[in-house]
Amino acid sequence: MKSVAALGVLLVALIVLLPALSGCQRESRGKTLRVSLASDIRSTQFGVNRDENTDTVLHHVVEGLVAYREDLTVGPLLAESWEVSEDGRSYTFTLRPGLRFHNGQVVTASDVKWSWEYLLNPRNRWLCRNWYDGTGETGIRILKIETLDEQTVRFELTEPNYLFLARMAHMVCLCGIIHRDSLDAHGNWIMPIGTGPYRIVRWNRRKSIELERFADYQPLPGARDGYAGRREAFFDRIEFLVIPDASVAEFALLSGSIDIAPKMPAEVLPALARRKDVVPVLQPTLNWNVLLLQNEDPMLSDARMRRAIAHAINREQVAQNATQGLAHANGSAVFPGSRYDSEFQRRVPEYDPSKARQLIREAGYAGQPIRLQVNRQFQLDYSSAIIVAEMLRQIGLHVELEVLDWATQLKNYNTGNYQMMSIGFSARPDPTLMFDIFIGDRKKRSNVVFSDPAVVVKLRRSGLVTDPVERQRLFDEIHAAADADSSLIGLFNHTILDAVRADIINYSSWPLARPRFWGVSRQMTEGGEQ
Amino acid sequence: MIAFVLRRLTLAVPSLLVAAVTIFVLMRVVPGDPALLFIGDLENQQAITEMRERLGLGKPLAQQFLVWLEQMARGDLGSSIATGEPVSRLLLDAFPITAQVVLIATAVTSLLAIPGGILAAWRQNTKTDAAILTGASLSQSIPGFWMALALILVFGVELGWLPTVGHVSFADSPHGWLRHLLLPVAALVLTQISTLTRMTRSSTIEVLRLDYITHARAKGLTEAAVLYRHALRNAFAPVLTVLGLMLGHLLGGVVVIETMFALPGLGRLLVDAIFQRDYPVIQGCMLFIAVIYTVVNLLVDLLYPLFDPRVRLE
Repeated sequence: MKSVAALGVLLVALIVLLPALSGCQRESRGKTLRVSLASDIRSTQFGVNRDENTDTVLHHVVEGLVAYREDLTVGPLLAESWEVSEDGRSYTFTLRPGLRFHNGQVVTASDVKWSWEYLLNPRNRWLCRNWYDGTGETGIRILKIETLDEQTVRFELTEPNYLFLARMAHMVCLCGIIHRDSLDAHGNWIMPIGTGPYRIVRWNRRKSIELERFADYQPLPGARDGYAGRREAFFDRIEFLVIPDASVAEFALLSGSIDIAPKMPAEVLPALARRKDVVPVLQPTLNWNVLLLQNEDPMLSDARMRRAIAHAINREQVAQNATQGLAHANGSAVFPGSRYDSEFQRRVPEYDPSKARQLIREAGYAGQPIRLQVNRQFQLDYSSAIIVAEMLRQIGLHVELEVLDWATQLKNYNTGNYQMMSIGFSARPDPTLMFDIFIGDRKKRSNVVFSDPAVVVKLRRSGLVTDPVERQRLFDEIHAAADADSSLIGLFNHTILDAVRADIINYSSWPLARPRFWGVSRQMTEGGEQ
Repeated sequence: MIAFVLRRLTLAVPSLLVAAVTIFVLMRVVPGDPALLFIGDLENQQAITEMRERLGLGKPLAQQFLVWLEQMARGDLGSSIATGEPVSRLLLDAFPITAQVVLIATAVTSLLAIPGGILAAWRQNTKTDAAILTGASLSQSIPGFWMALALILVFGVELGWLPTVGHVSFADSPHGWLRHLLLPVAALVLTQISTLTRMTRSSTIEVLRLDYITHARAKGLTEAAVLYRHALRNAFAPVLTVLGLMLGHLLGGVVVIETMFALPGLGRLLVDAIFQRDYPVIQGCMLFIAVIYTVVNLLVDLLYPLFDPRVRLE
């Protein structure tokens, strides 16, 4: 009985001591920003072993010559300016003066040339090499990179290509300029010595990654603007904590263990909105949810069946219900609000169940089951599929939901092994790249659903021409053709929800939905501490 | 005893081999392509093909298995497809976190449940017994994730006393280590305590009914001496079996607790690897878990004679 009593005393002591133990919870909290990360970074080698979380962290450390602005145009970052030659084949970049790497060395044109040659060397397995060696879908091929002086570097292409800057600024494949000491004497990767407003100081694998403010950082003038613009760091440290579960991240935010929880599920919005200590930040993004119809399937190869499905879906209702009212329907690969948005891009088959029923009768549909593949890892894919399946049942289609894990669905997507699939595509800033997800040569890529050769030619052309009017015309024609084919039914663009503690100032999101923590600070306390 | 240990270890080899074959085949049967998951949304078919070649995924299954076996024979569990880290290092990083939570929780559970169970047995059919049984039933009926959520909400969100996520190593900060472990350990204790309490109670009740206990009381021994010297030693063997099974199971990864408190332990390593189809990590984790079970069972067998002299290790 003595041990039970001793245990009781111990428990009481613990409970009494708990508040005292919590005293250190706010230790040095003011100068450190704590952010949740859904998974650990895969590596520090940008573009070699990466995923979205890896990109998010490394964009604070490594910078390219150019970057995307919030209006989805390309702006300068390390480059002060650039000139395109009359024939459209040469891009000459002038570096900003006074730029330094994290090791204190000055950034020169030869560093830019060296970095690019490192990335393009097949030995280094940069996953985006095919974007620039002529083997990729957009056909860009860098012929030569030469330094003209300490501050100027010229890229020469084999032929003009509008997408060169778009690719260079792309957030997925960071074309980072790094110092040579990022590698050891044998050419093996150590750690990126970049130019960003933060540098990596500690990586506790599977737990956290800590960044420290780079004191010699030279921010661009003006305001923060996407991944371009002013990147001024106010927090001394950023600590990314690996928290895979969204509910756990939510509780960590509510308890003050973290300051920002990016990309929370829409379901938590009502609960967050009721609190005074947390602010929900909403942002429409280019991420796009769609329904794919396999037009090589015996039943769905009949265009009338696909068209019937397009008429049976009330896209606005899908968008509203799947996202808790946060998104509106978008049937086009062109983002509403993009410079290439037009009335043509908004044209999609109207919601008309009677017309849908008539079309399936004409197609001779006799109640055969149609399987709709989906996963539960991405909640919007799943909610959309549930609603779509019900709408299709309303017109008499026998739709069965096939819930797979993401790895299986991804494999089926890549091999074309499905009848219908509910899936979301990540943001591509340029419409050519967005259309390229589902239009192309099926012999080369089995995941495309629309292979009309004439449309494929138009899509390639849209990447080559620089005249905005011609690009607009091409995008409108491509959308009209894809819409008539109805092998892809666009549903909606995601609105993402980032949850932020109320004392965090100036945090905002942007259409490419990648969190940025420069320009963000903490409200001053009475003692004057940040 | 040494002969017994050696014989048990030798017998474990075929079991581990069968486990290895099963794990290997099962993972290859489940659809999904690690190369595709690695490349992600980059639309680079050439890179996917190159990656498959590099991983040897195009080779016949038997050849892939033999390559893995040969690696293991050299003590090399391979490297993670997702991160490139050696699997052995991932296990060495993850297991201590799981082990800390599980061992502390098991120790606390034992300290509470065994005396609790004995007390309930001693006071059978009284209010004390009813109270302990009710507590145990309540704890058994609450799912682990719910218990964890309740603790997080009360001590993390509402009272703000303890952090709700993460892990700090003891070497970095003993204070931080304690604070970060309190909630996961409490959640685990509260979900495991009922089984052990009930087992101890029923086992002790059984022993208390035996003639030799009546004889001990007739000799004039105190109740404490009867309980601890005579009853507990005999009642403990089945409790030890349950404790061993529990420990083996928990050391293999407490996925729910690790997820709820963002602890990078063995359970989460395995689950993440399954989602990523990271074959070397899955195979390494599963084999490691099989070894844990073998070792824990062996230890339990070795401990039996300490409590029950009738048991001989032959």
